Amino acid sequence: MLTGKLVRVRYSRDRIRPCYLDPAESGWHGAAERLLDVYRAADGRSRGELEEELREMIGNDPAQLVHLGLAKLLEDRCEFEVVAGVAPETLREAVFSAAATARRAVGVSGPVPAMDTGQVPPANPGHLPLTFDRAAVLQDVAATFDLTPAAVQQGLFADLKSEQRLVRFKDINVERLLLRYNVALAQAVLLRSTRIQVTIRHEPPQRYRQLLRAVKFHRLVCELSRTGPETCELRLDGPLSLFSATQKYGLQLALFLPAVLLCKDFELRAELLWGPQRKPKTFFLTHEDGLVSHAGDTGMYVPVELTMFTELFRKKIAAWEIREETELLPLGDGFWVPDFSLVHRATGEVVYLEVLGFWRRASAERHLERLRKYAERPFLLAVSDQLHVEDAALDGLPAGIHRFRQMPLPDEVVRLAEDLLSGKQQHSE
Amino acid sequence: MDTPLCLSFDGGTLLLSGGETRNLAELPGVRFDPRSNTQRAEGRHYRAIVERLRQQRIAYRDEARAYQPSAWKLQSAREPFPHQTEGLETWWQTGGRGVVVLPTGTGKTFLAVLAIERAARPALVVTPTIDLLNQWYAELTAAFGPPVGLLGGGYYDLQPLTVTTYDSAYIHLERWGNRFGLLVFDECHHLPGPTYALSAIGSIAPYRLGLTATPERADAQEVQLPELIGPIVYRREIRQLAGEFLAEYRTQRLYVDLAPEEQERYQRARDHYRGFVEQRGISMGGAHGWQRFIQETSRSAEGRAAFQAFREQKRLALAAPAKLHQLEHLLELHRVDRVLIFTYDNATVYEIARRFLVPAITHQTKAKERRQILERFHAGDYQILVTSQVLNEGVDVPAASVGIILSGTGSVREHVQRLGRLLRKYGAKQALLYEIVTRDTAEEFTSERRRQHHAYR
Repeated sequence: MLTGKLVRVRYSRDRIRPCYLDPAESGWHGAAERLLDVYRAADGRSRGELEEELREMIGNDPAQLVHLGLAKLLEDRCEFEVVAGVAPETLREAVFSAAATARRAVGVSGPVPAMDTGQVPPANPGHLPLTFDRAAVLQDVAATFDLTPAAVQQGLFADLKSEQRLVRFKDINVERLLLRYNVALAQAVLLRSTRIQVTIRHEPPQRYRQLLRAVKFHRLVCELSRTGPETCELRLDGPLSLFSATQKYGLQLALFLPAVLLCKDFELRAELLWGPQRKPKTFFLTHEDGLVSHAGDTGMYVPVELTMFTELFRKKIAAWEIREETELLPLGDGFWVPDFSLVHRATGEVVYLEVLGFWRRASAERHLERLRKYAERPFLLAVSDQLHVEDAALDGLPAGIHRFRQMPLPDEVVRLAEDLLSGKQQHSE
Repeated sequence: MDTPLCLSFDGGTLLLSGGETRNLAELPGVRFDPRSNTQRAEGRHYRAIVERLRQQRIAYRDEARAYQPSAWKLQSAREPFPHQTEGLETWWQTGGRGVVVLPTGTGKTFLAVLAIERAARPALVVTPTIDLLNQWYAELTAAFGPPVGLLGGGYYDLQPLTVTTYDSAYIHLERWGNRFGLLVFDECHHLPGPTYALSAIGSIAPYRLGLTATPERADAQEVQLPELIGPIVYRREIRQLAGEFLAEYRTQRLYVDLAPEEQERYQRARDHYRGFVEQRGISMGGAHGWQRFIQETSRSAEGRAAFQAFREQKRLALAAPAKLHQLEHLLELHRVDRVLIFTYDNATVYEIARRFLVPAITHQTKAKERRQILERFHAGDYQILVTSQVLNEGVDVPAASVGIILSGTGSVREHVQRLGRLLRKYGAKQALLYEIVTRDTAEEFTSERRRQHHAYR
């Protein structure tokens, strides 16, 4: 992520507009390539040397913010370690002890001026008795470690941050680096945010589950609502936001951004407190800005069995329509996103179907627990035998339950759906 | 009434569920949260809410508090100074909430140890720096025995007795906010402000102790302290205590000259930056002067050049090689004394360490080595120690009789606390503080400003 100092934005009224890079513009390609070359060739060099080389190359001028920003992103991909023959602490202990002993010896034998006369002669070491012999101390210590005095001096503070050596650099290509830069820039703006609001369109249930997982992971408070067909709105901040607009959750919101960027069609609006005066500003981001997420797009896989089930259902069942569009149903302090909505064509009644086939067992059990506690209306639950869920775990669920081996059976699902409709709730065995 | 009232902790807030809604809304600090459809309050209202519920005999279940009272046992008895006893008693009688103002070097840490024992609750000590974190860790381990937890400086280990920094406390609030009954804010003038204050706002701890030598802030935000910790319950100035146990001390200022070539570069850079400041009508000493300077200089190439000039003249004035000559001379003069050298930046610390082969402590020094250095300094195995401003606040450096300030910024607070470390009694020895100042530079004014504080009179 970029730090506050490296942020490049324009202001228009109350809006903050980040100055994204155009990854296609060859000017930045050259700059990125030159920086990459420095890091690719930096193996074994010290952080201080690297910083010095970068300073010579790009200067410390704020006009070079893009270069500094790219360099920061590359530095984040580096690993530095202390490289020293003798542990620097050991060397220091030896040198400082030897120096203290040498000084003490002089202190006893040499003349001691009175300290409370307040009379300090002019600084002129040449006229003072030669008392403390630095070179001799270094020589002695070097001999005990079988080193040269120069090596002792060099190794004395080898563990300082600036003296640490680069041992690993995670390479990246120019295009991806420039894409990372744009995301990092938007994230740096979000560090100043107090809350964000995201409108999302045309996403499957898996996407919402992914987003809700990210909400939970980053410990955010999320309000979610349907605002139109195939459209949802997420409003995100944290527990303390109720009492005052705080930037406490800025980092969490910034880290949440890559999850949003995985959506095909979205609008994000962030409320910011900007600058040292913390002036209210807003920041907008949509899919049209072209930011590319570096987060893994996990949990989006639709198993072939579910696709087959859907196709078979459409072929065999005339009285019900099966829809894969997303419904967000409140569940306790959160939400759940059933896999399917079954619509009874004659009455327009809707029954939700959740398929527990390919979940991790622990998450499946947690999910069942929450459904048992909070589900507000009856639904259908298809459970794969491969999950080895005990019957007892399904007791007390407000659901019609269908156990299946390979894939859910449309006829069986419909029978349960009709039971639900006619109010004859039965529990499948 | 269906389910009884239940309090739970949620990321720095209290959630109130069950009970009668009408009653809940009247509780201190409670507000309806439409996001989660619950009643919610900031963590700090826990004490007031519980007191009100008990007073009105309303039954409630407490799932918020995740700690139990805990009887701490001091490992060694030590006779407190009268001001420590008075401070402690006054704080406790004020409900165990409040700020105690004492000069640095007068035993604030021990007062806090007594407060932890008195409150008999799991306690979190919040400090401004990693150095102070290490220092408190050592003190609490000595006072109560292990384990003492650390949160920050690369550690994440929560124990019923834990030390953290303002930064880490803020970042990890969700995880510790309901696990301590007593918060000790060291150098608590750091607490007010939109970020750090959240540690006090989001914690349920009923007992709170603030410690500082200088509660007053340039931005007057100390008015928040009563809300966050409690009122100032006890205050003593350095002159009221000097007779009690502080050593006598003396200050002496020494001037060094820039080399003619440096003097010329200094003057050129200074004229450049002053010209810019005057042209833009910025009053550097005034309120927001520095902020305006930063804003103005970041807007144009001309501004950026002025900023470079500002840095150049500052660097020249602070790091004059002549100061190192003067230092060498002082080290000769005081070669049988315990000498503590302060300097402004880490680069100079390491330059001094390399040149004079003396141990250095900066924010990069690890806890173990730091303790070793301080122990040896205390025992006299090392006579000289050099440190940067990370030791500025309250770190208990033992038994130094000579201090040398090589450079520094001119805030009164910083200086009182630096000076405080020299005020420890060391036999019958009088403490002596040197200040090496570059002649004919702006640093002279900084030094003048320091002297206006009554610690110098």
